[in-house]
Amino acid sequence: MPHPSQHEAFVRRIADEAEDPWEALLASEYAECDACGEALERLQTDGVTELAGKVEAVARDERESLRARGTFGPEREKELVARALAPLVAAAQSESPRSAPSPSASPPPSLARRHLLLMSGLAAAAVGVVWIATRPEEQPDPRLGPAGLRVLAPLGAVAQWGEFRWDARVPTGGGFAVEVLDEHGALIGGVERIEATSWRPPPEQSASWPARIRVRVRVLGAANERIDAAEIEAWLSER
Amino acid sequence: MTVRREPHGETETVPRSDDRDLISQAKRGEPRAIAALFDRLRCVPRMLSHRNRTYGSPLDTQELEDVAQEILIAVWRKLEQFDGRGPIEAWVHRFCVFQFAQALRDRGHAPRGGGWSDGELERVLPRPNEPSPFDLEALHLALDTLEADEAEVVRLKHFAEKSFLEIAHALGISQNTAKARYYRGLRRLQQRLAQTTSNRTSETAR
Repeated sequence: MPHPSQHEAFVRRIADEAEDPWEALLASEYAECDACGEALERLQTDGVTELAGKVEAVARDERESLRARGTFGPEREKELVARALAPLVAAAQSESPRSAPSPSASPPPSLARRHLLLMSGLAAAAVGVVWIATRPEEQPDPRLGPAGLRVLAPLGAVAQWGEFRWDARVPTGGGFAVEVLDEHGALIGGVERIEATSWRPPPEQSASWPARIRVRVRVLGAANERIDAAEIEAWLSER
Repeated sequence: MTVRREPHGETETVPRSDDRDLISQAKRGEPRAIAALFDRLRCVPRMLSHRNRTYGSPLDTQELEDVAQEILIAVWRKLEQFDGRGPIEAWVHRFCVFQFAQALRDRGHAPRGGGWSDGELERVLPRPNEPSPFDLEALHLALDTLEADEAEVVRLKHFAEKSFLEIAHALGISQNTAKARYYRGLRRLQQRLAQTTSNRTSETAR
């Protein structure tokens, strides 16, 4: 059935006059008329087509990304995920439960329960390690990157920042860089190059740090080329 | 529940049900859920490396791994914000969009890199007629400003590629109501993007 002429006239009028033609259509007697809706779509084209195209481009980008194979390969992907998240998982498990009970709170967990929680936390951290250890080919310990870098401290909740420590295989003439970042990824401290596997931040630096930081340690070659890197999160437990 | 070993040596010990449940279980420390979530979050380095390659590999391998680590940490810290409207991968994809664009800006401050402006960067990134990483970032931010009902229709229309008829049936509304929300959402996007462009122009002029 052709669209009645009075509907067409109405749609043209609201497209010209109403601040929000669609709201005007929904408030009218023709709210359920699909043909009116189609007519209004045809009349409203200024800028819409181009913008709809941009949104479609965003959607297409997401679809392509979700289907993409990437360039790292499955094993390297696993290593990157474990390196980033296993310390956070372990720290989260060791942190809870932490707060002192109030008088009205339930009794603290029994020794057996606390033991179970601790073992669960250790098991959770171990998952991250075992998960990427199930590989067929032989390589230097892949969990720790090409230089075997592993950040040892600070890790998770700490009473004070103290000495930063790490472990790695360093090439001849190589060294390390330490970067301290805030939660937004901004560089707030560190040291550009150091040969030792530990560093104690000077008080004039650490005094201005927030309660939660990220620490990135890089292994550098003799020419300051980047060989390996590891990053962990740490936070002050009482503040 | 059985443990299956996939052809590439991967194991799946938790059925892929509601992703919100998976996150809840992982945050509670359940080892199998953690392993499953780790496996799903492999999408971060995968999507990031694809994005880097698509735009002409402006980041080297080390920089790419650094950005992947930053994204993974940010995702982990914000897991409670996942709303479950789509798969985890789609939610994580936004982190990749934002962090990749930021990494390109930061490259201007890196010891080895040059100080590229947005315009210069767009000239060297080989994707003519396609949105730049900064366009995509701006569009995602603009999409975040939509009302919930508008965002729902826009995402179903473009990201899920549904027709207005399908959207209307899915949401239990009329086609005209679906269209009204959609076009209202597009108008809001238009205003937001115009505002963003105006802000950038003002900052450049200072």
